[in-house]
Amino acid sequence: MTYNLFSDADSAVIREFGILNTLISPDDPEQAAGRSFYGVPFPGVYVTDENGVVTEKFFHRHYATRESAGAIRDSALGEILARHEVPAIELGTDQVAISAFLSDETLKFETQSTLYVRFELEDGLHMYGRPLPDGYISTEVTISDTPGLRVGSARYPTTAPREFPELGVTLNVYERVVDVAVPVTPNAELFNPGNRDQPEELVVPVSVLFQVCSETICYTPRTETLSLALPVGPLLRPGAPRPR
Amino acid sequence: MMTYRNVLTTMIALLLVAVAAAAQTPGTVQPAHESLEPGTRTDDLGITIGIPVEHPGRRYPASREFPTGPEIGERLPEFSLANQEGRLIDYHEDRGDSKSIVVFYRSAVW
Repeated sequence: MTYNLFSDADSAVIREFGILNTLISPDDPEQAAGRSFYGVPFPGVYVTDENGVVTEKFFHRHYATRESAGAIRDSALGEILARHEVPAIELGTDQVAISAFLSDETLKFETQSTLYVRFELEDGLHMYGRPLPDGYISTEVTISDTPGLRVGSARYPTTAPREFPELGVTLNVYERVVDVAVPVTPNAELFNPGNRDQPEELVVPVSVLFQVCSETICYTPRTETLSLALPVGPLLRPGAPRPR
Repeated sequence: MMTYRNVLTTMIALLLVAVAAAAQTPGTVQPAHESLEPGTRTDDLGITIGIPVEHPGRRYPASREFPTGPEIGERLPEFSLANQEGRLIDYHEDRGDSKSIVVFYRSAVW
């Protein structure tokens, strides 16, 4: 992966893209003090394909909120690049192995990472996904309210419709490997730039609800909780030496 | 002769009209700090720093309605800028047939 750092000193490209921050005017007082804020963009990220066409974009209201490197990388690759050193936890039954892991090695202040929950089903088994008729349990991932963590909506993969002639229904199923992605962002409740005492870890309870079935039988629906201990990266102050 | 009260009432009326007009102008981005206590140092995400929220460096949109540039499915514009080595780079040409990630930071100098 190569990179260029571009200087858009007169904001020409920022304007070309149409993302000039219009909440700041050229007449704002800081200009007179010699430090200009006018000309900054609304910060964000575009991911493009091989033709330079946008496939994903990440923009947040607050300038301090950004996507993590892992979240952007996975979006650009179109797949999860799971690495062995990221925080993870596993749980196994005879039918399915469940693991939860983060897209990055640590959580960072106002940086949106992705918490993945992966279900690996034995061959010949399946689970259900929405939409479903009454009486069927869809696969659900829930992260309970955790102080210091802003949790977004879980993204579920696409299901495949499967006919069940004996039952006379077609149901949406998941087979083999199922990755559910939940955006998580540590916020000022966890570490506030005003505080000197910063936490080193955040324990996140991840609940899963699922029902595994074979061609002929269904196992009891299960609810399990995995507690994922996520390291929290140090809050970097401008001008402070970077920890190694 | 206008009394103080008349002047104040007129000014308030003008202010309300101006605010209402701003809210209706299409394409205007409403700043978040307008709904916060003036002079406060804590923004509506709970981030507290020693600079008031209405400072130009701290202003951000009150809602998700703000311009975010090219949409999904659109090709990024052509542009050329000097890179970290001082060379003029044409983005699409340099990208060639590769996927890319284009990141806009606010500043590299503060």
